[in-house]
Amino acid sequence: MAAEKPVMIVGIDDSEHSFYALDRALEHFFVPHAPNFPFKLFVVYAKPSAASTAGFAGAGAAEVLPFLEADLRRVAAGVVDKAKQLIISKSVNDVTLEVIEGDARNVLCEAVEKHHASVLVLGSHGYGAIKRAVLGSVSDYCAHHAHCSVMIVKKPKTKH
Amino acid sequence: MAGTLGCVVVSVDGSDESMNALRWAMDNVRLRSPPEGSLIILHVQSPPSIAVGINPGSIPFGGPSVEVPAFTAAIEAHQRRITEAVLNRALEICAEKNVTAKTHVVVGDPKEKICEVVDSLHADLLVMGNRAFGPIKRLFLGSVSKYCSNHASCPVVIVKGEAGQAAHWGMLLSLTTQAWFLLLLYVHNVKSLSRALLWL
Repeated sequence: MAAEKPVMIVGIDDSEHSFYALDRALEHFFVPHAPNFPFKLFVVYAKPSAASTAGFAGAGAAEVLPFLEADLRRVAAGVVDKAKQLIISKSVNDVTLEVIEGDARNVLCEAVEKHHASVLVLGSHGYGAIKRAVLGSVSDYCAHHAHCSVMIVKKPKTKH
Repeated sequence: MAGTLGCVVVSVDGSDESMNALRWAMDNVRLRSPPEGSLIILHVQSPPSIAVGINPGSIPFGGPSVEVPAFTAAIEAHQRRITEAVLNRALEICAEKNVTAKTHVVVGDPKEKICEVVDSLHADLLVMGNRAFGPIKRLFLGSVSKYCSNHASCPVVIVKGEAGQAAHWGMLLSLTTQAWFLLLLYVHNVKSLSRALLWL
């Protein structure tokens, strides 16, 4: 009976920037419309895999992997918890939290395809040109490759 | 149901993507009630020297000699007409959706000017289209949306339409034709090289 609601996906990692982005997305697109939210919200955490994180460790990698895996799982639980708290504090319901393992770029673009999202919201670490070249930028990649509108939220730098 | 957004800037350049972005903004963005909440349609006009640089063929004697006042005046008049057309189209779309919006025109380099305006107006959100150039053009012309998403002081929404899909096919096509061309070039070089060797 209700028309299919458009889907909004918010990509998060364990940084402050992405929680700021989630906060802004909730503030601007959900809170004003309560209780009839205009979007169906998915919050996706791309969990780095232990193998990729330990990639450069080389010889000692095999021993380190289980500890790395446990640590990553702990971080993931923390992130999901924090996200849930933020969502509840804004009184938003009809939210699905997903933890998907893999590289953030691919995870988010695939999530957009899977859910036929109309908006993808991302935080941006605000790297300069050099860091961007070395570390890569998930927000740049998704802005180019995601098949939907992309909202990039930068956390404002605190003024001195 | 007033929203939480104060000032929202939508950047238009006359392309269909930017008009799409304007429609998206009006459909999805909730502003605070006026006068706090306002929708601003921004158009950045390229300065006359750039305009000449882009179309040197259209100027007789083909030089970027903007010192000639008659040329400058003609170019500026032309630019003004383009700006008016773009803004009229944008305002028509606003009228369709019964939304009041203010227009703002600045002259200069689009990507820098958009970020400047967003800064000076303390905008809460910037909405723009994605020009959907292929990767090659994007390398040379730079991407306004990419620059703004990196440098604007507020969240940026890059609105893509179905054009997003078309861009991928266009990219694929341009890459395959370029690959084919390179192959032909390579073969031609090899042929001429072997002929030269034979001759020796």
